[in-house]
Amino acid sequence: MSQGFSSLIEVRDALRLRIGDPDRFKFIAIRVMLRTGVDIEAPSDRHREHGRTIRRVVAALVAMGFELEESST
Amino acid sequence: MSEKELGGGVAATAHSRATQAQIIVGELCEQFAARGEDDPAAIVFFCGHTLDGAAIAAGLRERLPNTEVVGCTSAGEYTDGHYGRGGTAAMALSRAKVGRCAAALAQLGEGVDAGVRAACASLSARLGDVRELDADRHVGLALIDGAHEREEEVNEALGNVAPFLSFVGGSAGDDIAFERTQVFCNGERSEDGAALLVLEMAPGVPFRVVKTSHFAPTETAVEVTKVGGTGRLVLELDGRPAREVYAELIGVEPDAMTNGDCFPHPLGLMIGGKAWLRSVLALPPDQPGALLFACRMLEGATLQLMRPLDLVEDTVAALDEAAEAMGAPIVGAIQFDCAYRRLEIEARDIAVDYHRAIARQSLVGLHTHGESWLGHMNQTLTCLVFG
Repeated sequence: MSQGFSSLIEVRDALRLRIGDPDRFKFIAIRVMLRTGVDIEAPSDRHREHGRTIRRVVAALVAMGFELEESST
Repeated sequence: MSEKELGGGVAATAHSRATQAQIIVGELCEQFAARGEDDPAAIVFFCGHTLDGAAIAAGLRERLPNTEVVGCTSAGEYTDGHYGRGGTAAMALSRAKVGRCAAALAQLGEGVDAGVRAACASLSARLGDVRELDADRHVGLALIDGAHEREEEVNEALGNVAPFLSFVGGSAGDDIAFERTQVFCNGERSEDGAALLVLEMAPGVPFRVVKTSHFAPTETAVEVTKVGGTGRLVLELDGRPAREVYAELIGVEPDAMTNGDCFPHPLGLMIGGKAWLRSVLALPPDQPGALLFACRMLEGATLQLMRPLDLVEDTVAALDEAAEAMGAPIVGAIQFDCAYRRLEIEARDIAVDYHRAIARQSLVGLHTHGESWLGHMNQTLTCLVFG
């Protein structure tokens, strides 16, 4: 897994690419929001490039089996 | 025991007011058989917390050995024909509606993730890898112990194992004491577990998960800035003592605030325009500035103050919307209905109106200590409906 994401936009786009189906992406985005309080569909300015927040989101996705690669963005 | 008659349903639901498990099992099976269900795919039951639910589950399984049986204790239970507390309400899921299914009990005492993974491994052995099940054909039910505050962990563990599969459910009750709740799965029971049932709906049978609450967001928002304890104790909102801030929001004096003042004003985590409600459970006397919520709170999360709408109208509208989305009338529903909703229904004396309004199809429900779908929430109705 890459730890090098510099923004939640990159994470979101990598997850979208990985999942494909928009409804399934929304489903996972809800799970992430409930676990972390972070909206990855439309990240707030406060969260967008906040390193600890990005790491928390990536960890939640990894726990669900979504290991994302930066290169997939 | 408190029971009311509504006039009877026409599908495979059953109800018993008996207190002895053997009699309850006999009455439920007799009612199922009278509706043509003598070999259902699964039975879901909800019983009063003083009843021997383990014996009810074991008795049903003994009478119907090919049927998956799950259940839990409640803070009130109902069917399309009855509502009350201290009885047993059940639904038999016909093989015409459910193709295959499997139930498993997750024991959580040795670790939530391990317990859920073990249970899901058991489900996978019978249905195929649960992670790969087609979510358009499969849906899970999760009946979770309601006294150990593990619901968030259970939902997260289920999401880790099967992220695209819906598990809808709720927390077992003990009539709002939060002391001892139980879940049941075939011949097993647990006071610290989750009974899981995965259904593969028969071809052509539409279904939906419904999540609804009769609260709308106000324009007032607060940020959770300090959380303590197990994550449900909020010490600060907007950087100030939580109780003081919340009392200001709802317009009461902090020292005079009671639980009753809080029920009409849960906080909502807004996701895609929908609120995931977090309700104040108690005002801990030993933590004068804090609020104890019935749900885990996340530091940094922004929550909206909610205002109540009409409970009956909202519920009917949500069920109508689900039917429209399915493209078919609802013929069955399994409902997980917050105990706080029951308190409001009783306080407003609208129980008959409410139960008549929702009893348009075969229905079984319980009043829960929390509701589940993707996560844990409060003051909400979650349910599985099928056509």
